[in-house]
Amino acid sequence: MADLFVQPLMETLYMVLFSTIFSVLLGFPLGVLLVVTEKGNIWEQPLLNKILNGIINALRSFPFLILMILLFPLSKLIVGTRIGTTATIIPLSIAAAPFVARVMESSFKEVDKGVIELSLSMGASIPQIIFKVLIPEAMPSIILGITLTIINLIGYSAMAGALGGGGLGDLAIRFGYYGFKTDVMIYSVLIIVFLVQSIQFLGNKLSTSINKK
Amino acid sequence: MIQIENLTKNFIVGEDTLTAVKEVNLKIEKGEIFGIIGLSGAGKSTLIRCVNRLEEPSSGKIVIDGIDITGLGKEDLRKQRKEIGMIFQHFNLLSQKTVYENIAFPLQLERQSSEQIENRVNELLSYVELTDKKYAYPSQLSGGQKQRVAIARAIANKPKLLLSDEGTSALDPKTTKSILSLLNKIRKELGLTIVMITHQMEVVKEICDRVAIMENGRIIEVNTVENLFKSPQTKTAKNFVNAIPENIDDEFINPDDFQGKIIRLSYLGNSAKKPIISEVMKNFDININILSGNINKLQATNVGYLMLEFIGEDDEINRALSYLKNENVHVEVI
Repeated sequence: MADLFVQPLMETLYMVLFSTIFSVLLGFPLGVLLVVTEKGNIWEQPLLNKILNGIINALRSFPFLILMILLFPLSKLIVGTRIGTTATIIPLSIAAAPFVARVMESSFKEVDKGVIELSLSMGASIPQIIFKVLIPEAMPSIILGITLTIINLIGYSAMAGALGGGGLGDLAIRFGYYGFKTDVMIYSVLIIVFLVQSIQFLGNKLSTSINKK
Repeated sequence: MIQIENLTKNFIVGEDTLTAVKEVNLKIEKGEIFGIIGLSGAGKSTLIRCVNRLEEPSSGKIVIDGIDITGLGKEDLRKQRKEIGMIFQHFNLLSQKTVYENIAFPLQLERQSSEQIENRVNELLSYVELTDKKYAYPSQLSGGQKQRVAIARAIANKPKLLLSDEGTSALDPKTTKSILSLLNKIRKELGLTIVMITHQMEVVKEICDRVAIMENGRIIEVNTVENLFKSPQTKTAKNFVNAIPENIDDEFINPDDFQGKIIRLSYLGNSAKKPIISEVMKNFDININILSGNINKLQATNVGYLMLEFIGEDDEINRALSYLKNENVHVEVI
């Protein structure tokens, strides 16, 4: 019985790992831009700020399954197939990126305005403020944000499973629910719950241990 | 050293224009400690922030050492800012960095070599007497220590001018003194010019050479500190001079030296205007001896205290005290 779960677990971890990496790569710079281009911030760009906000809100309001279907052609273009675990990483990453941008935005907004002002008073340039002040000062909160993203992606990946992505969600629904194997369904869900708990626990630990505030 | 000409700063809030600084003219000499004092909302913080253009002036001119700060482009402004150190009320230390890294910060911005940085930071740490806190984080420091780190950081690049925006306002009186003496040492040994914003007259009295009094965005008086205390020209200046607490008197009053009860009254607001003491003397069978006292006008309210000796029967004294309490006077038996 245990063998049944190994492959789906690996698939879930694989999907979540890579979609976390790609969504953070996409969303993190967007989060920085959202904050620095805001009114009164170090690189005030009202128009750019408006456009970014619009795009992010639009992407976030898409139901995930619809977004996934819309992005199948992109998966085909990038990984050569529209079905399967690897192909699922593309829509997962793109769906999570605007979420990451918002989470990062709120992390950066927590940074004390005083230290930004201090940096300006010392003649720091905009990139210096971003890399030497904004990001390091927000780091504990960034880690919590990434934790949140991973957990969100575990949820998304379970849904994506139903559309041919594989993983624990797929196992729970197709094999467990539709196949009337209630125990498989329950165990799959329990594994997902355990994953979420462990990641939250580790994220909290890491964030607290690096926070010097 | 600094010349401020016709400086005005407007803030646009919705449809209203708020003028925080109005046509300010000032001349600050090299090597002096210049205070700018005013109540909150007087515009002093906006004024000092215009000096390094953390706040963009709406009109007017600021010239520092012959360089027109107000006319500089972004890059040149960044270069000039490195010549101007600044400390803040809430220290603004990088919370995720050690004391060492905080002081190293401006040097890293300059891309100095790590050896250069290390030498300079160690030198600064011993200058502000915090060598033992080198690897501590700001959250582990007291307010005074935090401001010492901020001062070390502000002078790390050897600026010619130091701005202090309420640099001692978050500190207790004793720590304030030690920070002020550090600033004085810096002025003497490094020849810095220091401009400080404060609402505390004690600070001005302790350290400043000259002082400007600000009210409603305007400078209403510029004076040497000595003359300000001898003969303040404006009403606001007088109020500030009188606002210095003179608690020293209290320390000389030893209850054992008196027969009667020593009472300290402090009152706020309208009770300071009433003839409370003479009412007590008329209504109760006690004698009152006034030992010391002071009444100040702070913002719009009166704040005062009186040290009195009550001579009479205990019962009568107690009745008088409860009468005073009813008059909204804070009564303390010493």
